[in-house]
Order: sequence, then structure tokens, then C-alpha cells
Amino acid sequence: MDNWMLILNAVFIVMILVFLYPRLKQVQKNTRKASSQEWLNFAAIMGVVVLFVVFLIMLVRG
Amino acid sequence: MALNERAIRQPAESVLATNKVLRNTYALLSMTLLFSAAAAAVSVVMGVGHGAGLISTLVAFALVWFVLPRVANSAAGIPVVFLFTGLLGFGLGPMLSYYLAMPGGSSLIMTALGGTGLVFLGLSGYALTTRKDFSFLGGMLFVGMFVVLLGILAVLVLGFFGIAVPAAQLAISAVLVLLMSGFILFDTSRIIHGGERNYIMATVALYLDIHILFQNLLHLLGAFGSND
Repeated sequence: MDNWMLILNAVFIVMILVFLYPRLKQVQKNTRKASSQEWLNFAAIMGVVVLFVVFLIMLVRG
Repeated sequence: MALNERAIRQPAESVLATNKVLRNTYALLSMTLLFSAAAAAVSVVMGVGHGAGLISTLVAFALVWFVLPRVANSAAGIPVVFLFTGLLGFGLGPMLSYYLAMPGGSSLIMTALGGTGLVFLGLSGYALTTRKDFSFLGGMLFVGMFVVLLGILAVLVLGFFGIAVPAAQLAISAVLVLLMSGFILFDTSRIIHGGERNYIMATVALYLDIHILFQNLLHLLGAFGSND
């Protein structure tokens, strides 16, 4: 990648961070506390996603 | 009696409003995805370079940051969403051309596309049918996104000094796939539970989840998919 593209990419990421920061603060303040059962349920869903991605990788490898 | 009627009517009205937002969001999302795919195809045919792709992506984000908040509550928001998704699709062109030039590249892209579709339908369908409230994920997802962006920035700075870190790029892609999966649950849940009443903003959120998921799934499949 050319240097100008790296710089433009970096500026772009910094801009996203600047725009994301107030939203992050707002969401952090308004996020409710979840039960351990809810976190367990979410972890199980993410586990299924990971297994699916592994399956796709194996599918592509043939 | 009147109090009871009001108590019954309000949730019913709320459910109707939620269903309307959901219906409009999915209709607009499917149209914008098709439009975005067409823009990506045009970009590939034109042989657009990485620089033009990056500028197209930057213009798309400028639209979301500076124009969309002003027009999101009016009909003028719809062409802006199409322009946004079209530009992002156009920006995908150089990446798709790179993978298409690889042996088996087209099947790689189709697998990533199908995989993205299945992950989206599965997670969004799960949130819709169970009606579970995933609002508790918000804090974790936004902090995770912030950390990943700092990671991308670090990789870019290292790249500027000629240091390539492919392992870090792969790790970032893997985390982004999980983060976007979480965001699909979070964004769908927000629509269901009335946290997002504007279908234009809801469409942009879900479109971004799908777009980033596809890009990073393709990166992972491209890296791990070969037997070399």
C-alpha cells in the first residue's frame, strides 16, 4: 500500500474513533447489567458462530 | 375501565410500530444490499484501484456522519442511504478484484457471501423469534470496537515504517467477525424493543454489520482457506 493511502486510512480510523467516542460514553452509561444466564447464552451463540467460521474455512480448504 | 383499555392499547400500538419499523428496515436493507452488490460489480468491471476504493469509502462515511443525521427523519434519507451503500459497495471492488485474481477466488467470495448471509439470517432470526433483549451487549461491543480500531491504527502506523504484521491483521479480522455478530444481535434487538424507531438509521446499522462481517470473513477465508 502506498504511503498516502496508509496516511488516509489512518486519518479515516482516527475520524471513526472521534465519532465513536461520544456514542461509546452514552452506550456505556445506558447499558443494563445482564444476568450470568444471559452472558452464558451469548457465549453459546458466539461459540456457534466460531464453529460455523471454522466449518467455512474447512469447506474452502476442500 | 378506560385505564385498562389504554393499558392494552398502548402495547398493541407499540408492537404495531415495532413491526412497521422491522418490515421497512428489512425491505430497505434487502434493496440496498442488491444495489451495493451491483455497485461492487461495476467497480470490479471498471478495475477500480485501491485509492479510488478508499476515497469512495471515505465519502460514504462522510455522508453518514454529516448528511444522514439531517435527513434521516424525511424521505430524503432514502436516496442518501442508497448513495451510502452504493459507495461502500463500489469501495469493495478492489478487494473483490484481488480475490478474483486468485485461483478459486470466485468460490471464495461466494462462500464468504453465503456465510455472511447465513450468519446474518441466523442471528437476526434468533433475536426476532426469541425476542430476547440484547441491550446488555452495548457497552462491551462499543468498547470492543474502540479497541479494534486502535489495533488497526497501530497496524497502519507499523505499516508506514515498513513493518507488516499479518498475524495481527488476521486477529483483528477474527475479532471483527465476532463483534459484528454481536452487533447484529444488538441492532436487531434494539428494533424489536423500541430502541430504534427510525428504519433508515436501523438499515444503516444493519448494513454496516453485514458489510464489515463480509469483508473480514473473506479475509479469514482467503488467509486460512489455501492449503499452502
